[in-house]
Amino acid sequence: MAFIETISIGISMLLYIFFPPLLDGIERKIKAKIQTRYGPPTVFQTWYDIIKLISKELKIPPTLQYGVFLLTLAFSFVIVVLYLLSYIPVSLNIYMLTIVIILIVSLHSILAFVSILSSNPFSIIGIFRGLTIDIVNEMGFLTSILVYYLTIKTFNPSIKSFLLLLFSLLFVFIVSYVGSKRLPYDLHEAEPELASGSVIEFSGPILALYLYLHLIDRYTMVALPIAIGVAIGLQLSPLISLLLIHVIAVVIYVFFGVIAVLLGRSRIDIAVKTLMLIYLIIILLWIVVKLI
Amino acid sequence: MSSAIANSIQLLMEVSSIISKVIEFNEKVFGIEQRNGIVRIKIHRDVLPYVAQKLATTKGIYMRTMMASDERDLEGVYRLYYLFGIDREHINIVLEVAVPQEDPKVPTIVDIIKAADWYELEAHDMLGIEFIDRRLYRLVLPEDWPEKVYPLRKEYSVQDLMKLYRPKAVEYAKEIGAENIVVIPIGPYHPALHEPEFFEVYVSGERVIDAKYVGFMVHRGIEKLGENMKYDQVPFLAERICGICGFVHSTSYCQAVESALNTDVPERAQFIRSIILEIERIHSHLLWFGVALHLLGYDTGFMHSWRIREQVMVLAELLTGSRKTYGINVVGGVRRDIDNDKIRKAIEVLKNVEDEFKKLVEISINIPQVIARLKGTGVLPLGEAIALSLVGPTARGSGLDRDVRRDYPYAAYRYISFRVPTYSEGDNLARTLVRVDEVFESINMLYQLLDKVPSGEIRVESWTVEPYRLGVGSVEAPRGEVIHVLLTGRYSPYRWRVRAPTYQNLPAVSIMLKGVDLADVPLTIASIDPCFSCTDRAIVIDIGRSVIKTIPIEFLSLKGSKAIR
Repeated sequence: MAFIETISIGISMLLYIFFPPLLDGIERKIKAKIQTRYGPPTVFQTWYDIIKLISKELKIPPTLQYGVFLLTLAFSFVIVVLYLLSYIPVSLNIYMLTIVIILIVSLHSILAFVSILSSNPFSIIGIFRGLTIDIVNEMGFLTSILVYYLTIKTFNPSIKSFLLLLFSLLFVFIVSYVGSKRLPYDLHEAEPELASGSVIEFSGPILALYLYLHLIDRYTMVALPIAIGVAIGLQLSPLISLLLIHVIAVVIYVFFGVIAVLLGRSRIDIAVKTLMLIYLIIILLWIVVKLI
Repeated sequence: MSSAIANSIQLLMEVSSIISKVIEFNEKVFGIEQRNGIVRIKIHRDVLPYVAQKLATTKGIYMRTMMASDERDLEGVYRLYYLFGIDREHINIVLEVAVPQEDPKVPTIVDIIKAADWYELEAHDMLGIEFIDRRLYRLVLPEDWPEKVYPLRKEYSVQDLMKLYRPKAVEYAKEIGAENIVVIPIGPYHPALHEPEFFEVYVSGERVIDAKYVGFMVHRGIEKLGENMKYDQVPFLAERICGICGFVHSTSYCQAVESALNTDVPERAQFIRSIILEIERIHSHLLWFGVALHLLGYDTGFMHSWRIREQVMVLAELLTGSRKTYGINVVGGVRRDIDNDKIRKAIEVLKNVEDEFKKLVEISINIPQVIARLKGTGVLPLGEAIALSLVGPTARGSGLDRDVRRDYPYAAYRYISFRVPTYSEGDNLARTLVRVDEVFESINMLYQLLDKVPSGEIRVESWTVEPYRLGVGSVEAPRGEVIHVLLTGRYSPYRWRVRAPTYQNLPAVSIMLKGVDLADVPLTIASIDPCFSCTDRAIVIDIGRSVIKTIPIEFLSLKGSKAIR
């Protein structure tokens, strides 16, 4: 591998590791501004929170003993995902993409499984809500990436192609938004109803690790479609591609944050119906345009 | 003038029709007396269910409150005062039932009037009155309260009661081997309302099958305390009943005393009371609106609602000297006047609040998740609202058109025109819209009140106490009607009964919760705008010296913040 490509992957991985808590800090600041609050003192606040949580004593509820192992496993998965994401601009093929998707879905399953271990009723209700949405959204995730990949691969400058691109982009970013578990889909936590729901029993370093993994997952869900698009569509040098991916990802991440501030929390029955309807409509539209 | 005469004739006809229903019981009716819109009917305890049945089946009559009083010093009996209201005629009917001290038993009326349930249980807890043919259990007193000690009986002073009962925190701490513990008596928990409350919610999946309420965790014994205070000290205590709408309690108390003693309050004072009451309603509804949006996950609306509310709090401070707990009410008027400069500033603030709140409502109500979760959830049918004698926006959201400001005019409400917003759907959206409309209506009322403030005195020079007179004061609080019933004593109230609207509305929550999704439970509970107790204290136990110190919870919070720094 060329030196410049190795450097690019290294820089990109560092950005993937450093950005998520920072972006969360920025999102919190923007949210506070919209809500006429001061918000956290600095955009690094989420980083400070994570560091402080890590410094707290380790308390493991009896039912969560295996949870620590699972979280560690999830962290290993995340590192591999970040490496592969950074590698996409250098070389992308359908096999690598398949591995990335499998890893991301596995990561979601592991994070859900950690909460299922808890015997707390709020945690159980929260995680089952999360799983219900995940079942719909993971299917959407697989389909959207496939549809998006096909669209870009077969893209040509025609109205039909542009329409297909528009639908696939819409699909992939809605899936990405829902996967980020922001409002109105933060039903697994739903503070006023479930008192933190699926994360109610996490504290100290366990909460820090969970929070960090969750934020990285959020960012990767945004960055993945951008990486695919840039790698296939633009074919720039790896370093420029990687920087461009992060710039676009940051913009979209912040945009998602702004959308979340403007919405209320959904209810599990409404959320599932709405998502299924939206995904179905987009898929049908895409198929209709493709067949014309 | 002619309309006044017509009204009086109609009133007399209504009263005589009620009396004719009661008089059937002939020798069991001991006396009927009418004064200041209160008809007092003394009946034998044996006919109570029959008379209650007659009243309950008459359209437009509902049970407003019940006061149990220890009058053994006066007539050797306990006495129950059942207060019924006829809204359209502005009349209160008080059924007085004497209960002999040697046999303190009386037939229950719960099977006739559902709303009487808690009143009977409370009278049993506090005075030891037995209600026949019903299940009696402790409602107000804690489980470990000593047997046969009834705190509202006159033989117990507040000091006696404090010696007789302390929470067994020290014993428990020793039992669990704790060396130094902090007990936060916030009781059973839920993060939704940040107050001591406990709803046992039985769910199948996420669907609520049934719900049970357990309350009265912080009973402060305010009624008993009031019996040991001078008349003019009590308003300050009354105002501390509620941390949000305390002014309604001091006003209601003052009105009860004024009604018992036939005291004429100067018009200017009545206007000032109405102005502050409406300001209180606005800030309370803005607070509630924000909390409701927070429970729906729309925190942006929550923040903006509270931002707008802040202007109203500053306005309250301008007019009374305090953001909350104003302390301006006294028997016979108010202690603080307002001038033209303040009136001008108040109008400016109100215009701004009106504009900003209008925008906020337009945006918030149109958020898809907000409307989807408000509409059709937590439904309370009109029939249930009538059966439980519900009050305030909870009743009006179910189509029960009831408002003390119009039905029993007090303070300056008779001088202004206003509309009582009512919705018939009975769901969370209806109760929300009632409150939203009321904010605009209150602003409109304030414009009229501020424009019409008459000149003159703000309180009566002096007044004399006549003991053992009955007075009723009712005020439409943001959550519904507050009623204070008072029996005057020589230097202090002989008996002072407070009924807050949440007491009347809480039994309806279980009905609203049946069939809703778990996600909508906090909002449905909040939809009655419940007000439990806002004065929790933390107890620090020193095992070595067996001492319990009570310190404000804020102190602990500050201590915690300092530790972090």
